[in-house]
Amino acid sequence: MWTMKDQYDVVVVGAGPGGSMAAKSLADRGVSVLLLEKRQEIGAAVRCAEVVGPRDVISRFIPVDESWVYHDLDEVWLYPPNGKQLRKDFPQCGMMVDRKRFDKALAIAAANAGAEVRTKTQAMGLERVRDGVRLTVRHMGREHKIDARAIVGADGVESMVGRWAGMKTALGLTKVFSSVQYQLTGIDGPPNVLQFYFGNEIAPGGYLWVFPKAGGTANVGVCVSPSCQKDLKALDYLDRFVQDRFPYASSVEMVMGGIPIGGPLKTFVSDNVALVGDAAHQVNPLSAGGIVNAMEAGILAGGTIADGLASGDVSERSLRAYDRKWFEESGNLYRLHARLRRLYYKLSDDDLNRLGDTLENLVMDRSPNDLYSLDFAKSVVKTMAWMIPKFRFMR
Amino acid sequence: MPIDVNSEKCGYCGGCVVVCHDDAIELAEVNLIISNACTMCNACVVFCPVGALKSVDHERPV
Ligand SMILES: Cc1cc2nc3c(=O)[nH]c(=O)nc-3n(C[C@H](O)[C@H](O)[C@H](O)COP(=O)(O)OP(=O)(O)OC[C@H]3O[C@@H](n4cnc5c(N)ncnc54)[C@H](O)[C@@H]3O)c2cc1C
Ligand code: SF4
Ligand code: SF4
Repeated sequence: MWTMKDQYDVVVVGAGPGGSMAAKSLADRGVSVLLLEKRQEIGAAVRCAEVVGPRDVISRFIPVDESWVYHDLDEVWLYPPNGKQLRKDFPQCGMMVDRKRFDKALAIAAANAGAEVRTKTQAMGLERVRDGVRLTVRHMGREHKIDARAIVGADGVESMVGRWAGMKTALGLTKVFSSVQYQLTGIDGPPNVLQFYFGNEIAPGGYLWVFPKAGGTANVGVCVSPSCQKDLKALDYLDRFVQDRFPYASSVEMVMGGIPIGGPLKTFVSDNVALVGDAAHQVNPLSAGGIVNAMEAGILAGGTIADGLASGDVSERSLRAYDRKWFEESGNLYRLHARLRRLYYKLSDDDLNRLGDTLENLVMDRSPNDLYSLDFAKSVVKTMAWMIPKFRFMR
Repeated sequence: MPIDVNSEKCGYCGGCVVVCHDDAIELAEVNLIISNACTMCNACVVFCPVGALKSVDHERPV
């Protein structure tokens, strides 16, 4: 039988973008790594609208391969509730990818770097032992015990690794988006444009998206805050929109999902354990994008663990270096974006319309990179506070 | 089981797992398992994007 060993330096749980990048960066450093995926196919079923960063960002991780790229994205259109269209040119602001192939390509890159990868293999629990962690895994109905110096929990929104390690990872309903998407075909719409719709009747607390793929196909989905959704479900909002705009379209794929948009965990580590990606709630609270974020965190966590192994210390104290690096790079931006998201929950449709008008002026002469800057987030918070008196008293 | 999973609706996205504060839900590939640790807080029922979860007690005729 094809076996796994019973000992590795590191076991990475979950072969999404975060896990594969963590495994790759560890293997690149000569660490022995096992990368586990509970599903039978890496990348499927997709839980994503399939927008990633532009070519220059993605090629920092792996060479861009046209086999998983649909096309580049060059424009963004925003629709406030009054239906007014705000158009903004964003040359090369991102790419539409085939996440099934993309995720698999990342796992293959990890394997090529020297990681062992196994599918249909689920981590079931962990106990701490002298010198590390003992993981229980199940594969094809059989249980195995695997010892490792450290575990990376890259196990997505449904993460258990953090819970097993005694970390508090459960989220309240204001901190997670409830999301559903169809891949529709037979609709017309411009390619290379990301379209976003806003409003309390359209997507309370969140937004609705139309992201075109090739040949009359698009990912059309919605994310709503369960704390704002009233009596309807995300699917009700999506169906209402599709019935209204694309009644004659066909659906070739359906996607459900939860997106942890409440901001990052206070710490991503405990003794011998590091969390990355959705498991660590590293999704951007404003955009709800988490793919590149998970990949970046995977590399940071992998590097920190490799350092720790080299110096013989993968305790919580040593792994804190990963926390520090992450918060140094992204902490302030995420804090502001989480604040904007909380403010956003309170907006009426009138407020949103006014915000649309104001944003038009704020956004138009900015470069794409600028829009992800701290300065920009601060100016939006300020504008919102100035526009909408009730914000002046809110934290 | 206090919470009932409608497997014809569930898309195995795992989103309900993160809103459970009692470690009562686990997603094993395409099986959503809800244990007796459930305290009937209803968070997962409210969360599920497609309405696949139902609290069984609320179903009883009054
Ligand atoms: C509807 C929707 C649309 C989205 N659209 C976008 C978008 O357009 N752009 C963007 O940037 N982000 C988007 N996101 C967010 C993005 O999908 C996630 O942030 C990203 O996938 C996180 O990557 P990850 O590696 O942390 O986790 P995941 O990609 O979720 O991977 C986790 C993996 O771990 C596996 N796993 C879990 N538990 C175990 C276990 N016990 N044992 C073994 N394996 C396990 C899972 O099966 C899964 O494959 C979207 C999310 C949703 C729900
Ligand atoms: S949130 Fe709903 S669709 Fe997703 S796994 Fe839970 S029950 Fe299934
Ligand atoms: S009702 Fe509450 S305690 Fe029970 S499974 Fe759902 S979230 Fe967990």
